[in-house]
Amino acid sequence: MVFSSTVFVFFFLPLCLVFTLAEPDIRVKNIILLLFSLVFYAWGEPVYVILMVLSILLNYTLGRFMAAIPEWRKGILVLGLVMNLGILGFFKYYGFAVDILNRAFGLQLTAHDLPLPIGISFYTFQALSYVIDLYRGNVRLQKNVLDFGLYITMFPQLIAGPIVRYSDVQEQLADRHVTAAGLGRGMARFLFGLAKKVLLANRLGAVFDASGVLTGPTGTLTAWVGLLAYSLQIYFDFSGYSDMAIGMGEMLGFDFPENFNAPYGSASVTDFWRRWHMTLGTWFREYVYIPLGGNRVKPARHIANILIVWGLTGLWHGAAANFVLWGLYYGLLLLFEKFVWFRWEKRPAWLCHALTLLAVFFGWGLFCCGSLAECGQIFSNLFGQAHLGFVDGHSLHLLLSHGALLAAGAALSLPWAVRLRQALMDRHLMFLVVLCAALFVVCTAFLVTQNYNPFLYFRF
Amino acid sequence: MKTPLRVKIAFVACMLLLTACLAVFIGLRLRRPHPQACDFAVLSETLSEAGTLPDSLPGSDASLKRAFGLLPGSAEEFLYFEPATFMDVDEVLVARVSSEAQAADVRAACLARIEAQKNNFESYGTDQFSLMNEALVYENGGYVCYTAGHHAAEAMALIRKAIER
Repeated sequence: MVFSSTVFVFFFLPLCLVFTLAEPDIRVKNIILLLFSLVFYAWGEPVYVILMVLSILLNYTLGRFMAAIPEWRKGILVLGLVMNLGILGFFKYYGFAVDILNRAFGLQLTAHDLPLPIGISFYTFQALSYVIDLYRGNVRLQKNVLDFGLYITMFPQLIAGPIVRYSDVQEQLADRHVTAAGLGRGMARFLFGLAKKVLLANRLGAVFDASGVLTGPTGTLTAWVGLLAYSLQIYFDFSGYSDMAIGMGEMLGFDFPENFNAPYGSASVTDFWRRWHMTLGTWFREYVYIPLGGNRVKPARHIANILIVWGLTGLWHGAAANFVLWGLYYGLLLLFEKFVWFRWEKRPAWLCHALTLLAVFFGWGLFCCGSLAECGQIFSNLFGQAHLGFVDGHSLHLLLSHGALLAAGAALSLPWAVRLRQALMDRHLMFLVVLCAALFVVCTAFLVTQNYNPFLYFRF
Repeated sequence: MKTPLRVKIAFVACMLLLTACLAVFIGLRLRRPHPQACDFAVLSETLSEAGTLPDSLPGSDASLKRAFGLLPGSAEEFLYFEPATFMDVDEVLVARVSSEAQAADVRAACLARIEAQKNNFESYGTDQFSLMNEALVYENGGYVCYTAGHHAAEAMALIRKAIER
């Protein structure tokens, strides 16, 4: 089920809120929320609910026995890592691995590709965080399998994050309160996210599609306009989803971590990754980068650590060569900044911002492709290799038809928009209520007439 | 204090049971009839030769987006025949998908298309409305298929034959 659909906005969410808010007992409240979450997942994924339930039972059992058999703690941790990553690897990377083997060694192995279970990357990482943190002694053992199941399946963040670590919500699973103010803030946040998705991301996606930059030769300006539209689309799409997830969490009494902080206002690529998909960055830092030694090792090992983490970050996004390339591209950029760029102390701020945006822009060129051939197509278009001229009728048509949307998107992706939202929520309640009511009406009008438009990050 | 042996045996038994459940689940998923690599050009010819597309025309990316809200990247590959005129409902869509997320997207788009067409023809085109009531959506692992119109059932049978072993 998609958040930005009439079924979700007008039926599923209100019903869930009514049932959970009306129930005073936290244990019953958790069971209701668990049932709603399973229905939410089963809506588009009936078979793979079984896989998710098996994953819940597996990690719950690992936790129980990690506490019961202290002398086997390390072995149980390793078993948990192997089994969780094994399941993720089988469903997500098996076909990719067979393809690589066939190409590398001229083999003719057959891969029985299974459809990728939706959200598996997100819920596997959440389950792993529980097992690892339990081993480290950072969280308490969860003895109630239903509460643990709720942690894994909680529908606001099940499909596309934020990646909530068990330590973030362990207290709230046992005791949480919903206040009228929290409910109002959550609704406002949800509506801001819905507006980002419906009013901006979907329309920017149509501009990217109309540019044809992926599918064939285009003029240079058309390619740049198309990729600009994609850069804005993916930000509003994913940050919109995160806003909706955080807002729903607040309505249900949970405090989910922030996932975005105006990343297009960053002054460096390092800064960008502190503001974009922050929960994924935190996960890799806590569970991969620091255990590898982080930066407290020799320079060569430090460089290797960074490249490993970014290679894995790319691979996490998808089983395709362009995602690995995209991850390594960022690894190399971060190394360049760390060892070269940051040593230039008097670098102008405007230049830093401009170069960061350009680097991120080219990064999306690698990311939006479905294959290396498409990557070749998009970069060939960007650098005029399609030989269709710099400006053509199509590029002018795109700019004249969608220039205002692109300008509004660019302006609203900057830090002032986040500050304005915060100021509205903190100090201008009357204006906030009026704005939310207007957004709700406009979004509803778009929802009723729009085609099916899933979130981009569902595929990961 | 040393952990009692029965606890360790219980752990091993639980892990074996869960691993067996996972293996059975994966085994059952792999045993389902697998879609064979279907050549859409051949399938297109088959559908045309069988006379299942008299009121349809080959669709474009733009018409696919307009009718279903699907972009070329929404699936690995599409075969689409759109209604020949705005008063026709004969339509075929076959999508090769590589993930459950893609399958869910295309399936939802097909269901939305059926509802939209029914709304278009309700109280206006009774024949078209009843044909849309008989529209078919079928999913098999790597493919999601949709047929509507006078030859929906025959077209779907040919598509299923082409994608299933």
